[in-house]
Amino acid sequence: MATREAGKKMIMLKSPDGMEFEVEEAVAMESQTIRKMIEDDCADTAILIPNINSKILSRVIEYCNKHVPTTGATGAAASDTVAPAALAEDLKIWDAEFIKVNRATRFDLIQAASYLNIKGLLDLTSQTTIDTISDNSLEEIRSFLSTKNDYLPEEEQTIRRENQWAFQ
Amino acid sequence: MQSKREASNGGSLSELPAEVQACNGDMLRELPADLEAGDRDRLSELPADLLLNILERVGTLDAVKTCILSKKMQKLPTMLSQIVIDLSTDDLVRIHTVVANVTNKILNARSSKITIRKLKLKFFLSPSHCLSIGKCVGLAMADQKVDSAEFEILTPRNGHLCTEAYRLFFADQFNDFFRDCPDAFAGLTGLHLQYMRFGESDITNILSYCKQLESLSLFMCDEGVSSVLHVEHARLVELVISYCEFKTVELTFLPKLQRMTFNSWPSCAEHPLAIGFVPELSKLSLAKACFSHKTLKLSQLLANVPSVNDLSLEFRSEKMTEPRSQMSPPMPTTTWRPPTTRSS
Repeated sequence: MATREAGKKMIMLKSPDGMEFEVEEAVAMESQTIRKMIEDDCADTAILIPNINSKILSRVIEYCNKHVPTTGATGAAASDTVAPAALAEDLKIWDAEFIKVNRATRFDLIQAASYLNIKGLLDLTSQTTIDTISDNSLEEIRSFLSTKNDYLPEEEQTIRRENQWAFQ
Repeated sequence: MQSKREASNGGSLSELPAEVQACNGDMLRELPADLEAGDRDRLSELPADLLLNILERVGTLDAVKTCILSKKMQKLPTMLSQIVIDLSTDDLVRIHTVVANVTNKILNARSSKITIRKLKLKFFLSPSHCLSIGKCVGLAMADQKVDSAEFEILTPRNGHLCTEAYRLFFADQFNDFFRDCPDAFAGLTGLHLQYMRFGESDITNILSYCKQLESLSLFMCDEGVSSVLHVEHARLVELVISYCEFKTVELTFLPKLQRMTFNSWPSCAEHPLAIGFVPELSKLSLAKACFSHKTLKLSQLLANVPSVNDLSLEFRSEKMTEPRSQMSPPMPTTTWRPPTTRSS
């Protein structure tokens, strides 16, 4: 239920495993998907976020909380006293800590960021994958992403023959 | 755990090292259940649109390489809406045939429903590969929507090794490529050429045929010593002319031109640049590193272009007059690096 607390509009987000998270509307609206729901007036009661379990959803909310613009009533003091560059630097450090998670969590976060349409989070979570893919050998990419080789031996031979450059 | 992992590694392609390698110490706090989950193939499980979103952030060859990893992902490259093959020159020398092969594979097997937002290819001027690239890009253009397409064509010989004979030869080769692939050039939005000595009005022909062109860059290209280049184009936004032997480059009619970079014209040139109808020109960069006897009259040069608001000048030993006082307002912001190594 949308409630008011100290002048801030609150939104309830529900994960499929039954957990409920009450967040400020501004924080929830970091997600373009939720923003659209709110703007289309589809968000009177709690919003169920399908496919994102409470563990991941809580991390997403943690991210949005940190990244919500501080120009509003809540953050006015902070933005007045801290220079934008310092703020950006602080965010970068925070992001680097935030993304120190294992691979499974990272892929869950990628999917959550994509579904909820949070560009900054998608950029952050897919960067490790992008860094891995860029300029690395096929074997390095395979081992890091632990992508299973599902080719039959003869298929694999063809692939190798047709893409020799990729195996060098 | 260990035996399970070994059992799953059937093919010689997949010798998975320990999962632990990928994690730092503090990431292992959720062991062992999480390790189990982390060991699953997660990348290829992502929905195709999300995978493509990630793959479009890396160079196309890296994306194609990643898609080779599993059968599930093998078809993905044909769905990429951004195709960028922009290798370093060293890599290009090593695997130059790959550019044509991969471009062909991606473009030929593709659904015409997927718009190509960006196509950027850097390749060597080699007749067979150029033809192969030009043909498949031309077909894609006829068949699909292509928002932007850019060719950067490198010559197999450059620097001081590229004599005039080579430059004439490369221009001939390029002209053949241009004639053989009209569809590709008709839709091209960006073209970078180097080390070509064209015949008279060849460049004008190229410009009048490449109607979609928005960006043109010429490096060590010209139509002969002391030739004059008239540039007319309805859509060109950016023009870069560096180390070309034109006596004069005349911007005759360029209604959309916004940015012009002009580097190192011949020292004997009286009027290296003539500015005609360029109402949108806002950024002009002029640089010359070597000495000449001629004086460049900036006020005269800029008389026609009050729209320029970002003028950057870099003259190591050039004479220049009236940089500011006689310019008509509004005054452009000027970055001027004064001579640092005037020869005595």
